[in-house]
Amino acid sequence: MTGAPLLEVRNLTTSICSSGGAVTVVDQVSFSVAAGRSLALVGESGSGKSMTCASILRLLPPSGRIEGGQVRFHGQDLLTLPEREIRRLRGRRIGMILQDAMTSLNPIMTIGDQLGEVFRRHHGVRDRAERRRRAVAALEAVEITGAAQRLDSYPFQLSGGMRQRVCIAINIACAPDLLLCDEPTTALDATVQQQILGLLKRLQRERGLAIIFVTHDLRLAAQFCDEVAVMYAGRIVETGPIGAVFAAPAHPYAEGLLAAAPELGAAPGRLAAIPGTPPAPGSVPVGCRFAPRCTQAEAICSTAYPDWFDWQERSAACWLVPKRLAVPARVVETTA
Amino acid sequence: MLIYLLKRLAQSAITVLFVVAIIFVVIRLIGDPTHLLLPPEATEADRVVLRHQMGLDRPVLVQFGAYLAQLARGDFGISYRFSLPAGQVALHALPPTLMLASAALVLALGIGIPLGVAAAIWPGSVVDQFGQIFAVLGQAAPPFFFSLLFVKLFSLHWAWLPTGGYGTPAHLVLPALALGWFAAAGVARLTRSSMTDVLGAEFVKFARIKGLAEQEVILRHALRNALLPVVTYVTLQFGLLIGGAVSVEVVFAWPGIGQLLYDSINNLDYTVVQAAVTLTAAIFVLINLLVDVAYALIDPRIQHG
Amino acid sequence: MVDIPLSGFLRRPAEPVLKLAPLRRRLGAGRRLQRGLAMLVSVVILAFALFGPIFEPFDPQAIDLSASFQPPSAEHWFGTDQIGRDVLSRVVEATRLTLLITGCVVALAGGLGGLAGIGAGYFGGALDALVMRLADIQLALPAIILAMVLAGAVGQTLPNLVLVLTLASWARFARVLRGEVLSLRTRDFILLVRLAGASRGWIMLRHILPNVVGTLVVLATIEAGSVIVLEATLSFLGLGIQPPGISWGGLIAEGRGFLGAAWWVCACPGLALMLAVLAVNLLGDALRDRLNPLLPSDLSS
Repeated sequence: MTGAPLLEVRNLTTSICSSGGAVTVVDQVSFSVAAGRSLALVGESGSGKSMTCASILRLLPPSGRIEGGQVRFHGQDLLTLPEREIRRLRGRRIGMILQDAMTSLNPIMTIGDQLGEVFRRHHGVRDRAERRRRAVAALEAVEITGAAQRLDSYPFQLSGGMRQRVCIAINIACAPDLLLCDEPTTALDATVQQQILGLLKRLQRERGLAIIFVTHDLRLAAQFCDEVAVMYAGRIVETGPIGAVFAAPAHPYAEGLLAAAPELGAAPGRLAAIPGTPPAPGSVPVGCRFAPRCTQAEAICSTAYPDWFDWQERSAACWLVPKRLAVPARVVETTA
Repeated sequence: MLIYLLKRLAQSAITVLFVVAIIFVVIRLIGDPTHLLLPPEATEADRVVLRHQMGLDRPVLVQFGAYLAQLARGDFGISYRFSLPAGQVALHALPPTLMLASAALVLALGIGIPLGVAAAIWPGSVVDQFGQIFAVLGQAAPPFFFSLLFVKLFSLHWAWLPTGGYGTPAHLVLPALALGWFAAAGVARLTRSSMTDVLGAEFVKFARIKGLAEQEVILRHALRNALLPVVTYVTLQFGLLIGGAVSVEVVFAWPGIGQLLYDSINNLDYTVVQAAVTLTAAIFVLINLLVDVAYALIDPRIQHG
Repeated sequence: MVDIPLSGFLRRPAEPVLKLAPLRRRLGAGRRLQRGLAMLVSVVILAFALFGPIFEPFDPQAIDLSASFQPPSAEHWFGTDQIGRDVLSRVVEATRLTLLITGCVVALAGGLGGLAGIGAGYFGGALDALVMRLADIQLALPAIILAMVLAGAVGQTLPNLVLVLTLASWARFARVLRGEVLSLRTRDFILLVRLAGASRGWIMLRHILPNVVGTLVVLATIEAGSVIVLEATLSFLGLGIQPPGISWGGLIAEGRGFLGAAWWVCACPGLALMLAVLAVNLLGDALRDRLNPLLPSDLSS
């Protein structure tokens, strides 16, 4: 770990109001990211990964509300900042790219205008020609050829991969420290996926960018990231360096995920699926949320939520950790 | 693009032609104008002579052919009431109606769009509630009722504005309001729903991610996209406004096409009826055409795609 | 929208489409109030229409010169007009006629226009071209102007009035339903059924029609408001229902001359008119939310 973490999330809790009442979708989530490092946030759909990212930037849907916790960025708690201050950070210090680049871009504005906006907003560039120059530079930084002509195109005239590059360009234009990527390659073809990932990796190296990479694709996560945090039913269940975690997962859910991922661990010829489905956000069981589906569950698992165990550089929330890994595990905190 | 335009133009011309034809036939059913032109003591024989002179006893098709030939020369015949060329009479009545419809449209946009945007940005607020009531009432009552209501309140009760007539800007206020409320209601509702949809779109979220000020997000990104369906709607509205203008003109004695049509129908001045209807149809169809073109210009996807 | 099980589709028609969809969004108290009001007014109107004379405290035509120009009072809730007729009774009577006419017009315009549109959309070709040309012609003029000219020409009897109003309203039905059918035609489930060899008639009857009924019903309710307004305007201009027939428009026209002194003669029918159109509009909205969320709101097609 290189010094104090750039981003430190502690006990972040977010809920959404629906017709049935408030439902907690991000539950006491804690993790941290160091400068220049990348963290994979993996889990199934509905596990709360996207909402976590949205909460960091405080861009929740109208029915969402942050209930508690801290999000420390450069030591400053983002959740207590006034709206004006957060807006200054967005796009400038923290960026975010979304899954579908087509819907991320305004369909009736040119690429050049949408890029130029950030320069006007964050760098106060009033001169139109100057904005165009910087926009060209930004496009070239994401490996788009013929950048000057592209400035006057509309999003529908570009391919999917190019649109995502434009979104990346918009986000890194002001040299942020942290980039949140919410499944940025899920909607792209396999080859384009690799290109985009390569681009992100290069940008990370060149600019010391910290990245949080949300994905449900473990293979991509392994390829791209340094650390991993596994989410299940709104909670983080395991964290650690990605190589170590994937080689020997501590939490049974992580174990099951990896067993189900073809290239990463399953015996050839068989895909082992985890039986059952995750609990709906409004109806989580008492105790460990994975217990109903866990093959190794014990009595205590259904009565009390597991403590958070910490060893080497890894941690997991599972009662079985001390027994399974046969390592001296330190209890970091008891959860309520 | 040009080919599309020409094709549409040709289609529109044919439509108008058909309208003229149908109206021509229908007018023949209205009644015999010879009653108007001859003194009451005239005998049937006199009428027959007059009909022959006016060519009213020829087969309808032949009459229509002759009429078309006349039209090609720009000749709509003579108005029985005014003893002036019917085309001239109709054209003379056009500007007041256009003025009224335009004023109403401006009001509709000026009131409806801000109201709709505000209602979308602050759902459930006082503005939203007010907007809903405004819209619901506006779409329920016919323009002529509003006209009477306004006359009662603003002219008779509080003598702020004249009860009718034409000439000063003051005369325009009440008719334009009466006509415009209806249009404003539709615009407000549509703007609100369109804006609400757009505000939930991903690119608006992305604009916020970029750190843009809320004002920029709403005006530069959301509004522009939200107004696209409003443009279509407004153009359809213009036609409805011309229609609604009829009853408003009658209430306020506003000398427009609607008033003219009303008088001419009641007085069996059929050349003027024809002229007025033809003119209205032509304008209506032309406006629709212009709007399609404008829409193509605003939405770059149509142009390039 | 409609799921067809692959087996037995030739024997069983598609699932009923008038299944009520779950309410899409929670109705705020304001909207619930609106809907309640709409229901109330609709019921009242229906009651007036069906059992009119019961609600008329006086004979609508009864003249009583001694009681002329009475303002609203306990005896005459809406006051009396220039020759002493009870305005309330006249308003109630007008309700019956209006509803009758509106019902007929909507049924005819919706039925004929709808059929024309469905046929045009489904069979295409010459039929489509013909129907669209005719619709273009109707839509080339504002409805009121078309109605005025037609009404002026054919004479103002009741059947004529229904005819005129129908002619001025059918095109919207045709256009919207044509659009619906066009989009349905290319849906996968129709392709499947055609592959299986079902005849065009069968497809039309069992698969297309059930799917468009919802749109038709919603549109009919929405258009009903326009028809009411159109009829009222015509009557106001003297080209609609003629005396001794009573209609809201006619009553308003009668009362126009007394706007200064006896405003109630004009205002009460106007209020009734507004409430009726309001109720119908809100009902249309409610139906649209429940039956057919695919129909664009507030837009003409």
